[in-house]
Amino acid sequence: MVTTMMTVRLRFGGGLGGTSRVEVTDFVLPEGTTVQAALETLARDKGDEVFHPAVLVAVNGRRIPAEECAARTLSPGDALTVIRGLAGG
Amino acid sequence: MKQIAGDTLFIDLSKRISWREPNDDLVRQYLGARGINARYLWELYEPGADAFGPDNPLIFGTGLLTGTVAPSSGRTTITCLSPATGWYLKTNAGGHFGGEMKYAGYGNIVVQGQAEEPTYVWIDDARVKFRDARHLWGKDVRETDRALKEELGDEDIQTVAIGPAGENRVMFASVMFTVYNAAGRGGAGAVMGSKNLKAVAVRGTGAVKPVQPARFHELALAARRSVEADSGFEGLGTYGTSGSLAAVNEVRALASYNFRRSHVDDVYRITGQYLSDSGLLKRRVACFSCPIGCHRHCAVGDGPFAGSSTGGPEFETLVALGSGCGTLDARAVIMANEIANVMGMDTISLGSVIQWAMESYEKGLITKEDLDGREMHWGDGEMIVELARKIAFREGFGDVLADGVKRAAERVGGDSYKWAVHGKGLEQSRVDTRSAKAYALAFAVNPRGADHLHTETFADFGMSPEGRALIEKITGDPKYTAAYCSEKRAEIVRWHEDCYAVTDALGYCAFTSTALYGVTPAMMADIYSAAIGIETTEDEIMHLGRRIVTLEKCFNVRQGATRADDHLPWRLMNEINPDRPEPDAINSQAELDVMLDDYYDLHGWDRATSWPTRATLEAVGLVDVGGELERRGKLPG
Repeated sequence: MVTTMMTVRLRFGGGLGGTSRVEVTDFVLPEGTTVQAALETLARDKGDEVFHPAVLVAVNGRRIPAEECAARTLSPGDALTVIRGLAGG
Repeated sequence: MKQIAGDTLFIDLSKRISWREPNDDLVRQYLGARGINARYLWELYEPGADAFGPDNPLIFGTGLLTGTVAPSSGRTTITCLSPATGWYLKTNAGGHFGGEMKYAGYGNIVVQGQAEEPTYVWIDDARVKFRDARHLWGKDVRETDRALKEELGDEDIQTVAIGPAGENRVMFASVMFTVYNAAGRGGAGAVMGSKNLKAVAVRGTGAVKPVQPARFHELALAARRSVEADSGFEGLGTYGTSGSLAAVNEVRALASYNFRRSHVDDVYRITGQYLSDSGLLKRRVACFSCPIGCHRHCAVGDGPFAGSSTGGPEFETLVALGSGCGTLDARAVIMANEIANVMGMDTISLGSVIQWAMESYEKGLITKEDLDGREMHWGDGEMIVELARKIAFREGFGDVLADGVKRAAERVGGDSYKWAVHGKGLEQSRVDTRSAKAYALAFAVNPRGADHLHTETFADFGMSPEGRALIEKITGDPKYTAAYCSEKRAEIVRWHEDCYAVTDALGYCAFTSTALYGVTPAMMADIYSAAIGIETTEDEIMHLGRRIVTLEKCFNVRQGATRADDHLPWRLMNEINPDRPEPDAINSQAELDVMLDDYYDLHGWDRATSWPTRATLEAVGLVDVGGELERRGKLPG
């Protein structure tokens, strides 16, 4: 069986992974990947801090609560944000 | 109780007299600072009095806990009628003035009347002196602070002062505490200028003693540890308020290009992370008794803005004078911030009027001739800096902008009101409420206008586990931690209103309780109990918070406010957020109406008028206020 791959735009950083910037890169994943699976893939590269409760996870600018990550499926071209959330304004 | 609450110092500038009165009863009824100020304003302001006349009292109130070791408890509130809006104004600042004021023996200072000549007031413990300030008039805030320290021969005095903007009655002139901490919103600096009051200098050598000192200090230490344990503590100290800018950008709530965009690429260049990485950040600064230290001091060493050095910039400043004006040049923002600080101007309103002018120029309603022959375009850092100076001195077109965006749009005309982003006449804080519906409701009902510093609902963004837990506590379900959701917003806003009022009244920084969540209402009730020696529960202290919120509402009702005044800026109610083109990316009237109905119902306010009912006023302990409203025909039938 051939796995079809898709590309999403990963927006990562803001204090995670040792980078202050929000780095934007292509993130190639199997089609139908959930946000939770994407985070697990990312964690293998970036470390478990992507699961820290103060991390903001969003798809196309809309925050995805932790309890919804397993059910939320990514689509090609989606923007997946994984950055450190900070307080204050 | 006197040794923690302090007295109220009354100053009559017209008669050049002062006197003091105890305020123990007021502390029991209104906690302190913002609460007591609200009561004084209700009693002392006669409806119809000119905001720039002698009968608009300018009231300073430092927190009940200010001067103690309670964490981040050094805040001071100023209250008056806003000249910018014609409505209620409370504005609040950190720094170190509040602690010194309390050491001098005062919890509140009520300034009435109008001095014939420029004057400063020197408070040296119990001694209060009226001093000639003609030699200070025209000096900026930094120069004034320096001159007062030299003149009074004491480097340890603390000052509040206005700059030229306050003297020139710029409608968003701020009162500057400890030079770089602004009570910025709503034009309190212009009121101070209208009174010919250049500055207040204070030196105190007394003690601040809670009634139950051992218990108090144990609770203060616990509060400090709780703040330090919050997941946002380290980030707020490390990166300051602007550390959250990238996250707000990611959820399409970063108000850019005069709210025509809610997201910008390469936002890093105006974030707190960049200020730190680039070396623009020179030192981190903490207010009185604060373990967080979110304040910044930045300086520019190279480029066209070299030599600039100032406290800040904060989140709001970087958005208002940065992405809002179409620039990501942090160095330009730092220089504009410095001008705002030393001239004494609110950076939110300053940025707002400049970006409104940029859009008006783009659309042909302002021309080169209006701008002394200069072109204007988005992102022009030098123009931002030049306009900031002109506004402070009311030079050229700066005179139009100095009256705020609502009046400027009225003068320029055409469709320019559509991009004049204000509520009740106050330029909106730089949060795109089309992507943050609790903020939308909070801004609409805020008695001082569209602004986040009355009811900060940061938890709604869901960026911390503490915030998410709080939303679950308020609504019963974590699913309501959803910034785009308009359900349950009334409950979220009302909780934050009560909590914010208590926070302000005790002198805590809002970052301890509504951005970080280390200081809970239960903890505030405990430490208030230890401070005054009267046991008070969480419910009781939140009830006192609601009394304050309701009294502030009643002030506006007496001024003529109705439901129609609880609205949002035209652009946000009529144009979809272009960076989030979805059906809910707008603050529609229909959506706002549903939230307002829920909100008024929760408060026990009449839906049709928004006025508190008699039963509500009795329930919150404002029977006499209800009596006056009834005499004026302002109680719902």
